[in-house]
Amino acid sequence: MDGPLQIEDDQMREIASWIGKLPDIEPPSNLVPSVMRALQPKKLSLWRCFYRWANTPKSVNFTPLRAAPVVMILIVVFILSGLLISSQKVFRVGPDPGQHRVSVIFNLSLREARTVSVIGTFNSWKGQGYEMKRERGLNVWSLELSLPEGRYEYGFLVDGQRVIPDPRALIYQDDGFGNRNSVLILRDKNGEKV
Amino acid sequence: MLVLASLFFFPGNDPFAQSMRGDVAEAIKDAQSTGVGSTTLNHLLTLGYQNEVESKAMAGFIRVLTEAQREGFPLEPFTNKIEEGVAKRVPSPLIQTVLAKKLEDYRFTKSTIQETFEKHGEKNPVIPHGYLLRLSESLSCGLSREELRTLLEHASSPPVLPPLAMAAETMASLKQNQFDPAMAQQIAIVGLKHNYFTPERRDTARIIIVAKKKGISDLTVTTAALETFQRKGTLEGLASRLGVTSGDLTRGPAFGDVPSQPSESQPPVGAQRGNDMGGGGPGVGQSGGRAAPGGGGRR
Repeated sequence: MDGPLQIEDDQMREIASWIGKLPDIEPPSNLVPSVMRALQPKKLSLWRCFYRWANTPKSVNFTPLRAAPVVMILIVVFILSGLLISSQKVFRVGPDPGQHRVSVIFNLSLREARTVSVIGTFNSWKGQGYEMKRERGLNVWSLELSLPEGRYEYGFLVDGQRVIPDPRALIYQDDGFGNRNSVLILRDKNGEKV
Repeated sequence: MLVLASLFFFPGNDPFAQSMRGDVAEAIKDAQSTGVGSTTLNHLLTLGYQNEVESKAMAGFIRVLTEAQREGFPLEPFTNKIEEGVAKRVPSPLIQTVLAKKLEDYRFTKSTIQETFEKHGEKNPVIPHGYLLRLSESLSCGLSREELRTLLEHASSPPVLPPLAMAAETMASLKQNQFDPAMAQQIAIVGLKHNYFTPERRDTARIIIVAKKKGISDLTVTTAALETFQRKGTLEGLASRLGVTSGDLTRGPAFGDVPSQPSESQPPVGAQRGNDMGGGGPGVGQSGGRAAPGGGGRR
């Protein structure tokens, strides 16, 4: 067991004698300042400071009485923003909703159709929500709508692909795109408002 | 919202896309300064975004609206036509062409109405949008500009627009049903002259068309109509003279191969349906108390 230890002692002694024979060298003059600079705390950017602050857990102590004003302010802001949003007419183009409305029943007799919708200027020519219902045992499709007074162009969208005019309309209009639209003019029974 | 919409409208950073975006922004700026409402612009931009309308086309659409606003036209017919074209997948250049024609029609109608009023000594008349719209749109219903001008020349003094609108629509409707054009014009002019086109007589065109469909000659129908107008006769009298029953009116004219539907209710001839053109197509009733089944007996 003494053999390996003896060898290590000999090696250590040899290394110590080599170190002892090395010449003395003066440290560089800027060693101390550079070490001190490295040890100084770094200045963080504003964003980094905020991040660290925000990322550090905080505890807040409050009493319900102290929190009441803040809650009240939040409630007022919530109500005001709700009123502001509801007062804006978003994406509403067309008749005034306050206008007098007229009930209209659209009918179409058509065989060999899977779906039929009424499309026109009253629904931006989109059939969703305006699907006609086929009467049981008949080839008659119908849909009742309540429309504000006004002049409308419309047609029937058959199977979501082709648009046909109302064969019973009294007046048609060239749509400019190679087809005809049916025209419907609605107004108050006794009025002249269109 | 407007800014948001325009920001979302044209993605991409290439110079071409940016120049296009500039077109739309410029058009919007002009439209706003002219007084086009932001609701209308938002609606249009959203429509364009949802349907991937090219920015160049969108700028063109907005310019048409700006022009319409500047000239005091209602904007609805123009926005409606854009919506219709986009919904029907019509190429943008064709939509633009149709809009340009519509703009011309409105210009013609407005100036002709103004001339008519000026002839009767009324300068700077107020033209309600509803009647400007109906008279202008009659030019897309088969009425020529000359025919519209002639009708306006026969307006009463001072001119009253509601009967003029109804006369124009009656004439257009008769022409569409292959009624002799000259006789259709005579009916419209004489009706105007005798102030026959009132809301209570909105079934006039319908009775005439049904009579024609029943095989009565245009001349016979015209003679009966003109005599009724001159005598201020009732619509019931005209219908009776032409052999038109309330049932005929209930079913209405059916064109093409669409069979007529049996009716359950038969309102009297000339019954008001709330439809200015005689309740031609859909059944019509008043809100709050819906029309009888079939809305005027149309079911």
